[in-house]
Amino acid sequence: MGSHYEAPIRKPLVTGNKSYHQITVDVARPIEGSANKQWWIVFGISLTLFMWGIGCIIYTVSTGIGTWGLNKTVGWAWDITNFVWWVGIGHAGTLISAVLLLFRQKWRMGINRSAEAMTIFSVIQAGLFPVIHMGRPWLAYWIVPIPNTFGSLWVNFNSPLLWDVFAISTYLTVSLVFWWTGLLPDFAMIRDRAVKPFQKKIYSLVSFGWSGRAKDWQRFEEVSLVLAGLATPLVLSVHTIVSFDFATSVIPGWHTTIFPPYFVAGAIFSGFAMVQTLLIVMRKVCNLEDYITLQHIELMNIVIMITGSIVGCAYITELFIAWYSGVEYEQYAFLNRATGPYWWAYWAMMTCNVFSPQFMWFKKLRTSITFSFVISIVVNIGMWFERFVIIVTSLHRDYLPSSWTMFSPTFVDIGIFLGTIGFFFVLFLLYSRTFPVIAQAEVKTILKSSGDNYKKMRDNHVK
Amino acid sequence: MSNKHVHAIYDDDDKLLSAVKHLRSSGVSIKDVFTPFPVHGLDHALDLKPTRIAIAAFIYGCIGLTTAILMINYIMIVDWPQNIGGKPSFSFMENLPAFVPVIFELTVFFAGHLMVITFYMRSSLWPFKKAENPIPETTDDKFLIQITSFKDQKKLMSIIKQTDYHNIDIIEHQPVVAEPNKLVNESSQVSVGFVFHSRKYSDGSSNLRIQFTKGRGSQYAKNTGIRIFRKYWSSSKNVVSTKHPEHEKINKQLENIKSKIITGKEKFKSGVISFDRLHNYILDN
Repeated sequence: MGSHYEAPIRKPLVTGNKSYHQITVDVARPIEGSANKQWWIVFGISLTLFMWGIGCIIYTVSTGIGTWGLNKTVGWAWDITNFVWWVGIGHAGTLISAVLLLFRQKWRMGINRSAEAMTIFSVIQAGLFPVIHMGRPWLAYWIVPIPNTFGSLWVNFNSPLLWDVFAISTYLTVSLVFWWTGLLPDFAMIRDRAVKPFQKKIYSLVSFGWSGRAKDWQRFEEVSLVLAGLATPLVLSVHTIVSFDFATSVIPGWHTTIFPPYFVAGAIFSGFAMVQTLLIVMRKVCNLEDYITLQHIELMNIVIMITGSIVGCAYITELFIAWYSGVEYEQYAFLNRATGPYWWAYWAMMTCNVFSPQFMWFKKLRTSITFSFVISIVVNIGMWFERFVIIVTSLHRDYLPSSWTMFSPTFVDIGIFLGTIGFFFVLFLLYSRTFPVIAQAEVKTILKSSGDNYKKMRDNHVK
Repeated sequence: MSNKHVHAIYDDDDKLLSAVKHLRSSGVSIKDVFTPFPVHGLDHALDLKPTRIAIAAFIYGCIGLTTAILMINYIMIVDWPQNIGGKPSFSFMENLPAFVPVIFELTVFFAGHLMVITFYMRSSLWPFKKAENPIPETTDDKFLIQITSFKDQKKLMSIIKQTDYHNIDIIEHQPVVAEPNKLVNESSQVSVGFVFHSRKYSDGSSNLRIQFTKGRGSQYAKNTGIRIFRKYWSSSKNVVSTKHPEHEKINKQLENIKSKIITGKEKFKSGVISFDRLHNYILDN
């Protein structure tokens, strides 16, 4: 038992007296069982939203970007807001699986699989927006470096929009292989339990013939570690580069050097909030309370609290620097944000992102599941407003007062956004019924050190 | 004796680790070890060489870095320099800060993907690859030591029996992957197992059924008449757990069905009953 020692002060991460086999059974249960009524209801709603979104996309592409609420002053609005929002949400997954792996945080193992799934699904949503905004999405391949015999010049490597293309596609594909490599042993577990021939065939296919040899595991662990080492700067670079879309411009309100760290903190903040929203529901529906424990929820709340406070610091720093810079335009941009016609969006952002996470200082509140769920939704609303505030309030007051406008979304703007929410939940709901939602092979490695039964056994032994 | 394989099966990672050490110190040559999760210290116990995949990843990263630099230099400086905001477009070094993001991303892209591809190739993992774990339980909670070359089987057995083993299998020729959750794993073509009906009653319970499978193609299922909550069912033992208020009665019923399954399969083998009639024999009382 000696090699499995863990300090008694650490709370158990697997509860309910689990054995290795019990973990297998618990993780396989949602896949082997059938969906209940609630699943079908939520799936139906998501699918409807998704279909509505597809309709709006078809309308946009066939009629033109004029169907959106954009005008000549506010040329970027919901599309880029939604893009940044979804990319931000997509930051928690790789952060949990990569950064927390490097820091040897065992609590990541209960949640990393779903967080990574969420990452991939939300980056897919994010990628849709720039492609639709191109107006002619069938020419989307022009963003890759192809020679100018196609009728255009080379792509411009000085442009942050091109950096985005490389950052997002690298992030999506590397996250995908990271996720899938981790899934192989778990798919193999489902494969080896499957009784129905069709199920067996599918899981044989996706598990790539994983057999669990000692040498395979050695390589597997090394690959995970190196991928984590690569993904950690990657995850920080992606939102840094997204923030460059704004920071490298000369628009007052965008042209700030604080953007990269501020955006990355905001991304982690909103990503964790989304993980919290999804997992609080999933642990209940899939009976996984023994693996995603209150301890996990509390730790995620602490991350939300800290990153929320970093974001709050950034908001205040922005205001200070605007005043301190002595630049009139900069000062006006921030004064206008807080007190201009979009004051409600600014204060919605402030309330949701800066004030609401401060409740998490109280242990009673951060260990309350209902409260955590509410805050996680509030944070996601707040983070959407943050992007909206940065983008629209900086644009709508142009240098010429004759160009001053407001932005109001059309039903198409709203429809596409709701459509991506629907698409995201369609993917996540299908995932939760067909994928092992807990990294069971990894959880088994910490069972003896962090399982409640083993911890109790050791405590009794010591006494 | 060379075509015989011995599988020493353990139900705990610590037992496996001490068994590996014991076997190796007794001079047994271990072909392979199959485990459901990475067992800490197993690679040292087996004297596996450290993997060089991280070095490969570093090299791939360097390739990515070089590719990115060459590509951007060709596109932006050599082939078609453009005046973009008055930036220095004729010198790579002076324009380098703007190229850093893409160079970084391509380095990560190459290192990550090529390393994973290398891993899949070295460990032979790809779609349609057949799994090679000798028993399916090694992805669940069993740990298996595979021994393929030995001289004295008796001596080997006595060495294994000194360890805290769960089971020992002696297999002639290549190991065959066994089907889980089936009552009988003999060479007969028919397998019979318990499954639940996919539909649930409004109270959450479902019908326990028996599934008959012949070869790969034909399959059907019949209700046993037992209706229980799934949480009471133990699929590894095919019994109802003792938490069920009527577990004694139901398990007795199941006992009866199981013995009939065994005799029914014998009868099928000898040609007394057909596959389609198998359920009549097993379920009719």
